[in-house]
Amino acid sequence: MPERWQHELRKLKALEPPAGLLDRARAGPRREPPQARRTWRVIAPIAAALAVVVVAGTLALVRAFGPSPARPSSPAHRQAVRFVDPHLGWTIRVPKGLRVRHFHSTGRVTIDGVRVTSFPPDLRAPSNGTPPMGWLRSFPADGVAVQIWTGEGGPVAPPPLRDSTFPLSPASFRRIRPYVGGTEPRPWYCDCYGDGFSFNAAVWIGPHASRAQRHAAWAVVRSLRFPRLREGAFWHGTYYALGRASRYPTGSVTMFPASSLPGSRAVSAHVREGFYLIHAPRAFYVIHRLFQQPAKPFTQCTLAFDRKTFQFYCPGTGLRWNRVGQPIGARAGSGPDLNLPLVPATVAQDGHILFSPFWGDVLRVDLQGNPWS
Amino acid sequence: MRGKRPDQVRPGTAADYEKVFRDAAPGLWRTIYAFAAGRRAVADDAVAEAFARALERAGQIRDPVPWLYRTALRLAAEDLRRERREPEPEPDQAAASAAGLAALVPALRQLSAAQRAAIVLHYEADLPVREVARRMGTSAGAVKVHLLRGRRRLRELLGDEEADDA
Repeated sequence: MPERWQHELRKLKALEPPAGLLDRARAGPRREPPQARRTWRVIAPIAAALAVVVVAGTLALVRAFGPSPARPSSPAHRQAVRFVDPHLGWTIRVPKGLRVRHFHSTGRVTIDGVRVTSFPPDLRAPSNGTPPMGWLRSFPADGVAVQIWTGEGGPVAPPPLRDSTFPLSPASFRRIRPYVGGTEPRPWYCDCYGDGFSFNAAVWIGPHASRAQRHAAWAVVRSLRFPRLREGAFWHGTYYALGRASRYPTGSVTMFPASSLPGSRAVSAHVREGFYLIHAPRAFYVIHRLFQQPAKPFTQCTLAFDRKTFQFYCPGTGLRWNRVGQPIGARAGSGPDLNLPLVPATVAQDGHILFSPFWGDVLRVDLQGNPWS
Repeated sequence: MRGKRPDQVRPGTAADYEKVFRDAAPGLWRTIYAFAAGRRAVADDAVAEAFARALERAGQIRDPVPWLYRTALRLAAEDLRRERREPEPEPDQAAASAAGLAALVPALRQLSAAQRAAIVLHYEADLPVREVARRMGTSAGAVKVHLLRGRRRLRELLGDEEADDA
């Protein structure tokens, strides 16, 4: 008598290939034959070099004489395009055959984003959510879709310790429940960060989507790029772009005086004296130099840093803090909360450090544990 | 004069290949289905593409059936490699259950692709080790190792008790 696994294996005999395979074969090969691929390996470097020259030339001509190839407000079309987000400047490349449309919706939350589909979405379908998702209810079985969007006006997201890793990969995504139901497939979803900003990305793949369509959908996701940051800029009125992370060794404390920050007085009272950037093993964080004791005797000072003891202190007051802003010495634990707020600094996708001056005394944020442990 | 096995006939026309298709496609498709651990779409694509290429080269392939197996296995392996980079729909578990393969398909997924191919060709298609090697484009020694490890793993996963066929 056969063993159980042999018995199970015999059940395969009951399976039959689907009808229509021979017709598919008669229609001819769909993939590039191996010999052509070998040839391609030889000519690829030459073709790539030529392509770079042609693309650079075309871009220069287009920039000089024509409109950008994909304006965010342009209607859905069927050409390979590069989409540039009008707000944050991130880009995606949309392969030929997919439709792309920028959308902007206002409500309780203002949403900006892009929708890429392999089919014409029914945008008149009723929807309660923001962004409107009603079009997903009649999702074709062989369709794919990608949506990338950012929102403003909802709960304020604290700065992340680190941007998402780009290019995004399917591993950055998780399966979630369908948004609206109907024929909507279960989407893959990513709550990601680029240049310190939170954005959402979702991918829908119909159960009968072709391999090429699936590949195209994930290619859109992989093509997502955020602009490179420029040191010294005040990025989108939200973040100071500091130097690259490699410039600040682990354990270092670097002072940024107010004079080094663009428009610091107008930006926030917190940064009118500048700040310290601290690189702990687990995170970058900031301590503002301006200290204001919230209760009597209302002490105010500009914090100094003692490198020997790795302590911050208010000169002439006896107030001292350790590296994570906890008061030490005689005044520790007495009276009002004297903790110095720690503000996370973000390691951006291109390695620059981003710091938002709007977080601190009022908008406190948790560093998710001790950054030194 | 020694007779020729059907798979040794060298077809020269599309009509000949249609006969090869009728004879070989079910077994080839089942092999690729098992090789792809229950992914029907991978099996459909690989088998259709292999036959399409064979039709294109009608008359140039000396031994079409092993050629079709090697080509389809290579195409399916390409798809599985791509799948590691891109998540694909889960294998059609409902269809596998309906076909009585609810235990086998998950177990096959625990084997390597080469072990799956060797096991199915040897134990399901009843091919001798040398023929399995020819169809997989590898050596008989390698096939024996795949069979040994595949058997051991399937026993662990499905139990080694004997099944009652009745």
